[in-house]
Amino acid sequence: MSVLKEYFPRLIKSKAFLIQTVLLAVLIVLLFTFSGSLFMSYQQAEANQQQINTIETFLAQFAEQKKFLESISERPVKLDELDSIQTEIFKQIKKYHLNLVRFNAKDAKSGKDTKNTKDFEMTISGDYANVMEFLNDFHAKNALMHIRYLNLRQQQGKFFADVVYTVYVR
Amino acid sequence: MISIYFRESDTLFAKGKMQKGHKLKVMDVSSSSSSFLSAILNPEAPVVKQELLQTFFSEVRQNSGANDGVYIVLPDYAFKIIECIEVANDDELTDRIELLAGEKLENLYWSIPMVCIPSPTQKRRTVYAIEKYVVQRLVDLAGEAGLKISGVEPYSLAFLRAYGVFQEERIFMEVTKTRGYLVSYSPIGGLFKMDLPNLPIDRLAKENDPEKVFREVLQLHDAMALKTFTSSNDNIPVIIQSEAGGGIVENSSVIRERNRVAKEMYRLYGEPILFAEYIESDISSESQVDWMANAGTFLQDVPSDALMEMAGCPGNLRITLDSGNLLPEDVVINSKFWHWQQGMFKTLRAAIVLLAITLAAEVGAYFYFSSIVVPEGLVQQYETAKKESDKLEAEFNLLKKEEKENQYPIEAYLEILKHRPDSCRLLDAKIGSQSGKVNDDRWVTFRAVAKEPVAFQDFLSKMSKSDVFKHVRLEKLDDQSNVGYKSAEYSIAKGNVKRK
Repeated sequence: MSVLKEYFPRLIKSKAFLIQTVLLAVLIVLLFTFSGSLFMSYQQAEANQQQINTIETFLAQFAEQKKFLESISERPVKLDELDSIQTEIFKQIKKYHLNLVRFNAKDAKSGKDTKNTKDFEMTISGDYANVMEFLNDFHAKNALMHIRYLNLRQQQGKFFADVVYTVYVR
Repeated sequence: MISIYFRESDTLFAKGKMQKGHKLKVMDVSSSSSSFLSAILNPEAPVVKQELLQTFFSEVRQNSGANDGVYIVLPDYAFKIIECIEVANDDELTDRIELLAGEKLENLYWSIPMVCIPSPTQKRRTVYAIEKYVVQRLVDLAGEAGLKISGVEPYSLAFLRAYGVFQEERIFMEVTKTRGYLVSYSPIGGLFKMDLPNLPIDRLAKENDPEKVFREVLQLHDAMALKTFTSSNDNIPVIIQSEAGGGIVENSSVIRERNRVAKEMYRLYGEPILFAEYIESDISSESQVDWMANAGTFLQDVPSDALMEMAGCPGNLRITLDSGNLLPEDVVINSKFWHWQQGMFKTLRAAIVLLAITLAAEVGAYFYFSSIVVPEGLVQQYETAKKESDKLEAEFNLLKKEEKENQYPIEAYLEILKHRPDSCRLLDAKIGSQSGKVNDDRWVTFRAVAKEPVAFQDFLSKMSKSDVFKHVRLEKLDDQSNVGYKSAEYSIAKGNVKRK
């Protein structure tokens, strides 16, 4: 410290010292000023990177879900596809040489969530084996549907099946 | 730090570094066969020789760090006086210096590096004096080469400092082809120089009996030592520095005999002359004596007390050993300032470079961080997927709902048929919920007929074993003996059933 005190008055007369000191001071100021901007850009980059990661994870999960849905054989149908579904079922009835005794679309009843479902009921009759084959093969295209209620009965030597089935609509 | 010892036939060069606790590390030594001494000492030295010395200084500057202090050692014969003086006051001291040097004081640079106080009433000072032009020439030529000299010291003083034996008497004898002299050291007096005109190697070679010359030289020294120091031991050992052909001195039986006898007192004869313990170096023990002065001059700023303590001198030894630097005070101050300034500039430049690199790194990092943005395409992909995702979610919910609501009537009917005994026939079967209200306890209800009631029990027990069914109950049994059959009604709760 005493050396500095002794030499400093001579040192500040040196042009080289002044130039270097000014340069050093400018660099320090620049460094501090830029450090703020750097910190902010770092924070922004970190937030952006996090967002990219989130989006990429989401897109990967989305692709996986989509692939899974595409791989399954039965999916909910669109509302305007219902007619073709019924047509398909009627074709099946004909294919198995059955009689369609009764058919109607069921109204919504309380106690059941019918937002995405359409219920139908029908009675068919015919040979026992044909009825069973029809029921075993009950489907229409790749529509998500199932028989909700089945009443198998015999009447006057004929075999009847009362069927209530539900089609799922997206 | 760099030290240069200019000798008559060569130049010795050493690099050193002061360490913690005033210790010294001698890192590198080398020698040049060029001698620049005549260019320094001869007042009428040709310009060519002086230019050669200046070139040498330039080379030294190029091979040294900016803030390396440069310390010069000159042989003792370059000094007008090396004398131990006991005077009453300072005026008398300067008069004696003028008298001994035969020169006016303004033509001399002088220093008193050593003061011995053998008794409270005695104070002996060792004076070194050299003609001003010698030092000035060194400073000027070095300055023109851009080199700042930090110190100029005599050989004997630098040697003694590196040798570190302050409590014993020694004779430092230097013999060259053309010169011979000795410097005698006593812990109670200090140092004095004796020129020995009969001792140069060229003169000795012509002598019929050189041993006689040595005997006379040593007798003369002993008489002079007794006169100068008022008391002196016999057989003080002699440390010889000689050039090529100096074997005639080193092998002198008179000197060898003296050193052999001295061994009893000083433990010196036959042993290598080594650096003191406070000097660290890789120099071999046989060669350390050659680099003694180069090392010793590095220690000139070590306080006397510290030096004596490091040398292990007894407490009653009253010697003060300071710098023998002969540079004028303003040159020393300027030189110190210059080296300090160079060190400061070096630090500043290092700081500037470091900050510039840091700033460049920050700029690089800034541009790198700025380049991390969410790609526009990815955002669009995300928004599209987000909209579609809601539909997918709804579809998944429907799949779950379907699984939950499925009554699996075909699976249930086939399971009943599977367990039906041959003696039973089914009349009808109702499976699932017609209204939509799920009632798993009465999942299936059906009627069967058989001739024997035991068949119904058999049917019940078989169905009860199925995982598909739970709680199979026989609810009603009717005897319809008019048609020869009995009928039964069953109800079944839903078990573990899966899509077929």
